[in-house]
Amino acid sequence: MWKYVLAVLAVLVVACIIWYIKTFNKIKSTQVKIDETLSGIDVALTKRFDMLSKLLDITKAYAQHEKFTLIETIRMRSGMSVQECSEVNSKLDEIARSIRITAEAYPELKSSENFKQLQITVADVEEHLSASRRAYNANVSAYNQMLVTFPSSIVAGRIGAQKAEFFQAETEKKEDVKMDFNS
Amino acid sequence: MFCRFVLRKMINRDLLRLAEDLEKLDKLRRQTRNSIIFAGVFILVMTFCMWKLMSPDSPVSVPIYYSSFFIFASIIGALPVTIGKIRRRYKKLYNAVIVRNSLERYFEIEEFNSDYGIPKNTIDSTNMIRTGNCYKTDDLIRGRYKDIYFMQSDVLMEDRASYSQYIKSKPITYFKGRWMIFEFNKRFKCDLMVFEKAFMITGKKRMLALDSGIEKVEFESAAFTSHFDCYTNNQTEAFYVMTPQLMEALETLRENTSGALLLCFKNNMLHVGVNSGKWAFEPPIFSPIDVSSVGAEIEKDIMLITQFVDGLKLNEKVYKND
Repeated sequence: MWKYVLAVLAVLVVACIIWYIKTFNKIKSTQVKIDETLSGIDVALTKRFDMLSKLLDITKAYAQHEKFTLIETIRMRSGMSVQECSEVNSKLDEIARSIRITAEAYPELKSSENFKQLQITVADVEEHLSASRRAYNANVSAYNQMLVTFPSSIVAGRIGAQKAEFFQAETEKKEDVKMDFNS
Repeated sequence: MFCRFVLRKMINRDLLRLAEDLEKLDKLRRQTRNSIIFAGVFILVMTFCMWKLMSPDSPVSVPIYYSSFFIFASIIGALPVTIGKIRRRYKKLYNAVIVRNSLERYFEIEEFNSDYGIPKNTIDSTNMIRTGNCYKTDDLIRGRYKDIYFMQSDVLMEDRASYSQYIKSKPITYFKGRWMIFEFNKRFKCDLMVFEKAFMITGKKRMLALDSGIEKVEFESAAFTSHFDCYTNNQTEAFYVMTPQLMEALETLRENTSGALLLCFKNNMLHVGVNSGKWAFEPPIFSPIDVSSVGAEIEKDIMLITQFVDGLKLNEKVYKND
């Protein structure tokens, strides 16, 4: 009888160890995925910065805008934090918006072949950035869920895993949703 | 006056030719139908005769029985070939007279051939599903719709029964339906496979032929994730391909399409499989050719191609610097 009880206990212990290792590996591999996708955001931001700089060079020949100087304040470097990436992204959004406004005011700039080609490239880079951001947030969401749901939260607690930060959407876009019913 | 006369002559000539073609078509249809009925009756009669000859009180000697069995078996073996030949002739003419005209109204046709379809290695190269030891394909259509290159054909992939000493296994059908390949409107560096869950539910998960580097990926749309399983070798690029708009469009296409959907984004192309269990542009055999109902059926089959280009907005090449 005791033999069977011991055997069942041994099986249970082994199952628990296997589950612990699997959960531990899953948490770690999701952390790696988060880092990978964050570096993807980094790369996409750098590309966006380069493309917008080129677009800005063409636009400056037609007109000046006070937001154009923002580009000089951006310091691109690899390994930026989520917060830093978000700040850089917001600044790039403002520059992109001011370029669009300038192009609307100068039809010859808007119709320039060089400008059009660069705009397509910028749109593609922005789509890549958006994809990186969505992939990062999907990984963060899965990771944070593991941290708070039982029983994986036990393993997460033991290894001291911390909640990851989401890549926030630009403040301007959030403001776009605001509705003014007074006017 | 003269012009009107010439025009009338031309229209009359076209109508006459069409009537002749339809007559020929109906003749071939009847031939096909009769050959199928004949084959059915022949097999029934011969099976009955063989059963009678097998009975213990049968006056027929064993050598005669075996020789008659051999003749019967050879005729049965030859029947599908003969019927197949007649049916192919009928299908060829049906495609030329009826289907081609409808296709040309929608597409710029580069090739339309009922004898062959998308090659097996093209589908193998997607590493999506097993193609099995029996691969059949026909009705290849290659062309352009709204300047988007596409090809489509009917495809059957199955593992036919294998007989070992003791075990006789049933054929496993992996896929039966239509396979379409479209030029995609983005350049991407990943393989992304999307399977409708209805396809997985039918116990077909073991039929997948995914590479070892392929991982499951979950997108943010709960509605999409509840209906589709996705696998990729590059998560970020998969998110680049599968935008929220595309997910929404796929949801709509899923609702409007009969048969489970399989999609593979690979080498800047989009493969779409519709596992409906039936083939497109099939001519009627047992009922007479009614041009209006046949036309409606063909139109429905054509719409399956156009709805993917329109629904997924494949003609909007916003990110391609061509």
